Amino acid sequence: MNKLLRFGKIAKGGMAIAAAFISGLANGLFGGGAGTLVVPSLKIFRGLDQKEAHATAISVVLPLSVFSTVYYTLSGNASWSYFLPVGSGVVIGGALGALLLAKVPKKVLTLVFYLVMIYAGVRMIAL
Amino acid sequence: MTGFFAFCLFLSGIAGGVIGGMGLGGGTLLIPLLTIALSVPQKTAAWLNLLCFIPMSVFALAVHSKNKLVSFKDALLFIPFSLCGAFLASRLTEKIGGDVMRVSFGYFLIFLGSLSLVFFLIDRITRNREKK
Repeated sequence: MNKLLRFGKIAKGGMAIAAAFISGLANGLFGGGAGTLVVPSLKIFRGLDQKEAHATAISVVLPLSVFSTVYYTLSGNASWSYFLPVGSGVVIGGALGALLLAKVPKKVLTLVFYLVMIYAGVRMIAL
Repeated sequence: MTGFFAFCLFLSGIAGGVIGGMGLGGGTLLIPLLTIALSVPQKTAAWLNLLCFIPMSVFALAVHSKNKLVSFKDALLFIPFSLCGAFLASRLTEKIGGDVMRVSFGYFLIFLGSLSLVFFLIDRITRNREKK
């Protein structure tokens, strides 16, 4: 039984490592989406609760995003004129989202967001 | 760039920011908005998304670590391997075009959306059971 437990622990560690690698790969290839992979991985393979997983995921995604941003900038994909409007929108929206979080029905919103994600995926393939 | 286009970029940023601020994954919304609705090239949209969420992540991380919610032990396990993935991705993006990236991102979104939906439903069901 002890052996089985130990095997389970190692297997979970291995899956966590694989999930980390895939998250980095996806984030670099697509320019985002790592958080959506890292949060459930931390919950399932490391046993963190939702809040811890979310907070820890940011500390994982931040270095990733810095690395990939530097790479995309150096490889000539930067359009600085787009940065100001989008960046200021994200900062204002981010603050708004954090404030709204306590006030909106999160279950409904989450469900709608996942459906929008699938729809956006279909549109991106068909574009 | 026209003023109207800049305003649309700003609105996309707000939409992505709101979802990101709620912790739902703003990038998965911002990139499709930029590419589908505003015809921004895929690689530029990827760059914008990565860059724009860095300041927000720094701020959110500061708040979360102050509240002792960050498990640095688990983060240290994930960071090196995810960076290896990011490094491989940077080699790959040099070779593939924006169109291939856009279509694969589409599949990735469908996969993520379905996966999240399944996790969400499992979570709801198990919680309801616990209540009973």
